[in-house]
Amino acid sequence: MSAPNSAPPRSSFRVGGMLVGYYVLCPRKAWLSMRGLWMEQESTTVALGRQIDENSYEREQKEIMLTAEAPNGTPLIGKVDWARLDAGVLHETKKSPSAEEAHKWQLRFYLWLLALNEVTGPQGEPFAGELNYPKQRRTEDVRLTNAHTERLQEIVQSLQALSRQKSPPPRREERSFCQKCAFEELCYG
Amino acid sequence: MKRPYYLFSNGRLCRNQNTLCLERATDARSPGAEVAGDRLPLSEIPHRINPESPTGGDGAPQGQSDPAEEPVATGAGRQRDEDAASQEESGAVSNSLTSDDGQPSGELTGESIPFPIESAESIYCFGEIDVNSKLVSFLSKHHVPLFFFDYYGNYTASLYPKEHLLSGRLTVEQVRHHTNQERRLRLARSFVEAALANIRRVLRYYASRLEEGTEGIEEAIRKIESIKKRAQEAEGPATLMGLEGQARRRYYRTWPTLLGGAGENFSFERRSRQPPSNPLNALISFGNSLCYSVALRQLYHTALDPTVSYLHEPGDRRFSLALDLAEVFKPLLVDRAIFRLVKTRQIQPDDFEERLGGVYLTESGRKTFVEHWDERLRQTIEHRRLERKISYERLVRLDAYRLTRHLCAPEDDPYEGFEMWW
Repeated sequence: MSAPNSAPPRSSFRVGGMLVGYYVLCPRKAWLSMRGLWMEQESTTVALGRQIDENSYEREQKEIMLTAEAPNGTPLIGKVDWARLDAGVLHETKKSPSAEEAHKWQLRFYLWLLALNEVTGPQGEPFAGELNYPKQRRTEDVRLTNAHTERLQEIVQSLQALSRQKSPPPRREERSFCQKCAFEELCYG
Repeated sequence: MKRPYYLFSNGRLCRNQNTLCLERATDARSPGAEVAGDRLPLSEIPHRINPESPTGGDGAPQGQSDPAEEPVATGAGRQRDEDAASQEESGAVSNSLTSDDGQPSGELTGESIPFPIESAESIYCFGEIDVNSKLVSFLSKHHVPLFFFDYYGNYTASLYPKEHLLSGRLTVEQVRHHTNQERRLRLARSFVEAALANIRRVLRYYASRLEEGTEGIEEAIRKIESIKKRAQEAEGPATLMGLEGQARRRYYRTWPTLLGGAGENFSFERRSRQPPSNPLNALISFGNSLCYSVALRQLYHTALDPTVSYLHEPGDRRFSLALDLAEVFKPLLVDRAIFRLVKTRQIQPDDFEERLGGVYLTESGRKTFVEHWDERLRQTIEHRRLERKISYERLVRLDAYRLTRHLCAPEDDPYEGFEMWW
């Protein structure tokens, strides 16, 4: 099927939860990863995070794939760490709360995917989210409000614009912020 | 921490469940020679010896007159017949026709050294090593490149695993920067300028340690600086290559002075390769091939395409971007390694031998070089921008990242080749 000339070419562009988290932290990181410039293959922090993820909550239902379409037509995809479907809770396991803001947005994004699919909990209530930091023995409740939903739509818009941008956004101002980032050497090396 | 492994003995490298395994063989090329010498972390791994297998040494073929003329043992054929049964048991294909039939020239000793694949960053085969497709798939899955060197220590091949980091749009940019004359020149110039700056740095470093002959060095530095100026105006990569060669020739002329007393036994004359005509040339050739392999294995862990280059012409049979990068790092990694080894007399004239009209490092010379080389790569320096210690080897990776940044944003983030700041 041929698209009208004015429409952007159909691409494989889609937004996932991790990309949303990246964008909230640092649009440059999101741009680089959209380019296939991965930096996490060697990061011990990331490897450790994966281990914690794999070895925690082993009895629960893990890795649930979600897909949806944003109101503007962007395909959305999510891979939820684990869930308690009978209680209506999505969980996301993280190594440390150092990028908690990004973690919250990632989880809100998954909650949004469920909402877009009109999936609710057993009593018809919206799903709730819970961030788990097993190493710190800490959990954090995450909810999706209307304001969050609007913000998520904006983020998806921005990511779409970013994916068409020829060169990367600037580095973040605070240098100290980047010290734990797996992309640090790509930005400052 | 991953690291390269350097295998000097003969044998078979294979996959054993989820580990790598070196099954040693006798050294048919120099019978009775010490087979130990692989740079493996032997202390950290369990040593397994199968007592039922034939042991090395005794079984090694005798009566080899000159290994230079006949690298594969002639006496090994009959020996293999007798041991055919035991070889088949251990999975080796046994066929004893001629001495150069592609069969292993040594016998498996039964000594088997397992080492974890997770710890291997790359593997260097200096000895005669058999590999099979199972191993190749295993290495590829774990992103471990393999580098082969022939009997003389000439680099012969790389087993470059399947790409694991791809970025189509970065590749497009890489090619665009190559096909656009102006963009290509800009990058080619950066490589040469960085290379010359590092040469100058090395000259300064050693000149400050000299008691006499400094005027000659000063004059060479001035000459190299003037070549660097001309490089800024060069109108094509070929001119740049020419200027780089000119600077190197001038630089090499200072080597006898820089090497001082220890260098008396090492004359230089001129750079010659394939084959190298004297010990210094042999050291340069060997060092340069190691440097190339380091650049290549660092590029492998980036999304850059190693065949699209700027200073060197893109090659069909070589990874020419690794050549570009290696140019920048040779002064720090290769040249300084040579100075250190010669000046401290760790490498002496008897570490070389004449073969086929050329001069090559002996096996023990190569071991000495590689040992120092490996240490040098792991040596660290405080990086000013990252504010932490970075190994010399990692500096090569950082340069690949700088090049990546340039390709994404040539105006905002132009590539400047690594220049020693210490």
